[in-house]
Amino acid sequence: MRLVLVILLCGAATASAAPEASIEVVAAPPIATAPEAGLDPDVSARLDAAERAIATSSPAELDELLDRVLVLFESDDPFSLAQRDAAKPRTIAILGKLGERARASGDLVLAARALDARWTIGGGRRDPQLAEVLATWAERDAAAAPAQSLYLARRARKADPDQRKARDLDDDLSRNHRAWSGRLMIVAGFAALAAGIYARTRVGAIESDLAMQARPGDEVDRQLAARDRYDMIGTGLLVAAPVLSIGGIVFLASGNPSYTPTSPNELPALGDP
Amino acid sequence: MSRGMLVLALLVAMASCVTMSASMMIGPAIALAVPPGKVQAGEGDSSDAADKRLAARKHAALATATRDALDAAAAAPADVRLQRRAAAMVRALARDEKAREQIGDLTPRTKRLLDHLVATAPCPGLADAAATWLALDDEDAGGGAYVQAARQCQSVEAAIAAVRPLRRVERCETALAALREVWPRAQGARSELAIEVLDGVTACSTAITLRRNLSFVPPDVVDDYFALLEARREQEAESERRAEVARREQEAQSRAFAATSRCESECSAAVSTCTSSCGSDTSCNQRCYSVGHVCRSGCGSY
Repeated sequence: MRLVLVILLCGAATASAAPEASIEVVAAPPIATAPEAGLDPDVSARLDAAERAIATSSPAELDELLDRVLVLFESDDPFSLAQRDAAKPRTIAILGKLGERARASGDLVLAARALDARWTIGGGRRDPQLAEVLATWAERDAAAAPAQSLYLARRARKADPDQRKARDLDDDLSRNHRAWSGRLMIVAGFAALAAGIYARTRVGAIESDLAMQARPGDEVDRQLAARDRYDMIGTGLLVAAPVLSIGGIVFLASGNPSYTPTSPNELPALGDP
Repeated sequence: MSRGMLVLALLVAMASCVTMSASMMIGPAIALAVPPGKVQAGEGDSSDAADKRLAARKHAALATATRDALDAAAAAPADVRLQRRAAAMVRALARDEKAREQIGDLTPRTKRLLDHLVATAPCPGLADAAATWLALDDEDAGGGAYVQAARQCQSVEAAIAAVRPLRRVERCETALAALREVWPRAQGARSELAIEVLDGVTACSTAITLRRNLSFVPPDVVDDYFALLEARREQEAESERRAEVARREQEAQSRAFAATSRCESECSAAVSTCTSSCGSDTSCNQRCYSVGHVCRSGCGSY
């Protein structure tokens, strides 16, 4: 029964995702949402213009160009939805060129947007080029915006799980950098406690020893001096032990990352495909 | 104080100092055992600014796609599909307020498109034009185009579709005339269509004018239609009655639930007062609890 429900739900989801072949008009025949072959002339014209302009456009124009190329994948009217599949291969190729061009002109963000859009439209297949751009961007902003960099690093890893720079950055930004020093402080606290107990035991031992048997005056003075030294050290260590350990806890807790990966304003380049 | 006593006192002091210091190490011991914090796995969330940008891009993309579709239609005046597609895009744009305001000259461009479409292919151009004018909130032009479509394309559906917009702009006479003209075709078609025509007449009539407005319909059909209206009215009254009964039952249930809650809370308050007056007298406390139990069991009867 559960299986049947799952199959029905999957079927319904698939059916709702498929673009409509035509749209109904009252008192008129339906309109086909896509031409019999190819793309509508305005859709083709947008892609043609973009392809021609990539090589000659300035970085500011490239940004505008990217918006034009993505119109078909951003507008949710039935005609755009119906032509996405047919336009996909060409759009992917154009976005690749646009991303390359933006990268070559030093616009990392625009390159990331173009390649991220290409990756989304392409169905999220492995994309080392996008991963490289995202990892470089993440590396650049790691100190100033760690939450954003972590998002970029993880998206880069999603695009290419083998991207070493992104993996290192993800590990680095995800972990507590004070874990070992904090732990060391706590352990030092325990060591201080043990040493303090030992010193206090020595104080007791000296006093017992002095109480048990009579000794010459100078030896008694020496023993008492040793007792005072042990007493001072032991008390100091017993006070230092909790201070060190609790300080270690605070230090450890303060190193816990207080952010979650959050996208920069420019990404994701597209919403749900 | 003897020396032995002094040693003992020192030992006790030392033991208490060690115990106190050691007790403060419980927290650090737990902290050592707990793994340090880490950012949870997962891709993360898109920022508010990114969400806003994506939403804004959707509107902008729809506006661009519509503008391009209008240009494409203007560039290929013989391609009826492109004209109809552009009209449909305008309708989609009209539903999106933020996209609509991005095309300043939308109305004049749409008018040029629709005029050309109607001139090139009145059927189905008139129906497309009507739907588009309605989407742009021009009920008068929309209703008028539907009436023209009913006449030129002999479309019963168009005449029916004309009723609502024309009624809003108080042009019911035009709608009634269109319905009268398409009646012979509606009568020959499926019965639902004929009923829709008659419903259109009813929508554009008052209790006094209905019979007169139905004068173009054969008397036996009018009788059957009035019987249908009566059956609908009865069904509607029955549905309303059922809804009213259900509403009252719901209210009664809510009241009963509220009364039970109130009663139980009063019982609890009484038990609390009773036990506080008992102090540590166990049998008194037990009596309070048993009285409270009896009290609460009585609450269920509400």
